[in-house]
Amino acid sequence: MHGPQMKRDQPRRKLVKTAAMGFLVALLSHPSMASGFEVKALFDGHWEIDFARSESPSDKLRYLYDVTLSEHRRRLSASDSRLGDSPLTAMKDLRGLINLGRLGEQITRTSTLEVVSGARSLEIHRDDNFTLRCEEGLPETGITNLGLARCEWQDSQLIVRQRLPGGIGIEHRLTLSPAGRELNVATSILGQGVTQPFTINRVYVPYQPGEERFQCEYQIGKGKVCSLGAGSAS
Amino acid sequence: MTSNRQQRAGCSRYAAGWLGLLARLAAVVSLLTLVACQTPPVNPNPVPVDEGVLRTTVLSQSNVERGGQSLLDVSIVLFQHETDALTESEARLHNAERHYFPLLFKEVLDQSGYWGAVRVLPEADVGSELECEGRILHSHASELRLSLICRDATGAVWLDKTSFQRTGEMDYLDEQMAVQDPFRPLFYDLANELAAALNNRFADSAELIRATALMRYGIALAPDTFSAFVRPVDDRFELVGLPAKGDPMRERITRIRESEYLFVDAVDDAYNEVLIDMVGPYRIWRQYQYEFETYNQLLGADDRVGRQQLAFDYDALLGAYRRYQDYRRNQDELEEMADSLNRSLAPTLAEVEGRVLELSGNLAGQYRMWRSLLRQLYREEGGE
Repeated sequence: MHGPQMKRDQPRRKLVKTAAMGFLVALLSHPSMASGFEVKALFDGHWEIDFARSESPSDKLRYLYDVTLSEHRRRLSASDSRLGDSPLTAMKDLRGLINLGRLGEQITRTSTLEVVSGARSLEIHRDDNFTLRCEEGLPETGITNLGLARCEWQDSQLIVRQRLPGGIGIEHRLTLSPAGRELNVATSILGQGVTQPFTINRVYVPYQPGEERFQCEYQIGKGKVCSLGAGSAS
Repeated sequence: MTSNRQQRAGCSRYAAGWLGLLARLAAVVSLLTLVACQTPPVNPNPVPVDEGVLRTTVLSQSNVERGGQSLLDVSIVLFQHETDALTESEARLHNAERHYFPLLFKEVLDQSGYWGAVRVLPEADVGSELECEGRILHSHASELRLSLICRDATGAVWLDKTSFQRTGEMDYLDEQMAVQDPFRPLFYDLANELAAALNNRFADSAELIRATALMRYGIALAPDTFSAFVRPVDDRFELVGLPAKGDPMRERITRIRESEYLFVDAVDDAYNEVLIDMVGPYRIWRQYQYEFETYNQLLGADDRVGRQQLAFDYDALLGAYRRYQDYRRNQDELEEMADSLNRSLAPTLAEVEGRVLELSGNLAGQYRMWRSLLRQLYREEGGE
């Protein structure tokens, strides 16, 4: 597509993009979407990252940066000032995208996951971060000034949405492959005022945790107490 | 004869006069309303803010000789927890608190010296002289809110109160925690109110309460025989007569009740073990919970970030995420500690339940079974 045809499509594309972003932000922020959560034991077990099939945040950021930059360049060269495009807004958008990507890099470093379903709750323990916890019947948990989290199912996909102050949204979408041998965790970070979310796909495969030489548990009043595991030679 | 036109004109003048009057009245009313709105009535006695029970509250202790009068026995039923448990471990913790707080109240009543035997029971006891039922409305490290109702055997309400206590940093200092539970003053307050009710009522109603309690206990075992002595009137129980002193029927029921007390005391001892084992870990748990809650409040109090678009300032963006991460890690740690507390309490609770299993099943079921055994005993002794 070249010349006038491309020029005519630009406002439409921008409109579609803005509408899509608006929908995503609304999805993250609209309280009426909240409903009770139901525990399903679809992902239970230990999972470790498969680096070969996972996206690298820095590569993804570089790619998105290039695509977005060329998009802004095209718009600016088309000099369609009605849409408010200017070198300044383009730079701001790119800066926002880079920031979301940098945050994405920070929060997708998890190398192992343990998913545990209880009678009333589903917990996703991450080796490098806090536990993602979904409680049955609870639509939303947290403190407004710090962040709110909500869990929901979309068919067999588990979505954990976190809404942080300052117009920031984080979404973790867990999907199991048909054979059940891979767990894809798609993490999207959205920022109010940035034209697109930053999404990273990380693939996890099941593993059997080895017998620990030490078995540790938290004991109230004593802290972490470790003992020699049953399988260890003393 | 006036024409229709004249009549209409007359009516118009009449109506116009009324309208004018109404308009003037409306103006006066509006003026008065305005004046009333501009000068709100000043309450000469402003309602003070309820700060709840103060941590300085002291327990009133009996120093009165009751002239040979025996003291009233008190039964405390395990409390109901009315707050919604958000997590599984919180639900287990609620079960522990249902035991802990009545036991703490029992300890305080014993300490006050106003009462005879104070017992904690798994369910309501029809034969009790004075019975207290409590509901936990809010239970957090920073605030405990309870509702307590105490009735005597005649159905008279001695105390019906919703009370709360807020705690502060001072209450959770190690040296303070070693001395007493942070919420003990709340139970002092309730015990003091109950003691005040006792001083107002005891002298003229003690015998009536005891006799009614015995007859209501008799009804539970042999309704056909004892129903004639007590008449229910609305929520109250009116004693209409008593078997004569020395009556074998009365002696039998007294004897059976004594044997029930022996059993209830055994249950009570088992519950006491819960309290002894729970005190240490539960206080530490509360201490941690208080620290985390205070820290989370501090984190949440900084609402500057909520007013700007953080995506364009990486340091602010990362800061907001780190704050949320801190908060969630605190929650994780609290959850782990709640699990740990439940793990440390489980053997004690299981032991209590196990002991009860030797007799019947669970504690409430066992209590009912015990009653039916006593009823059988009464019949076999020729009571019916």
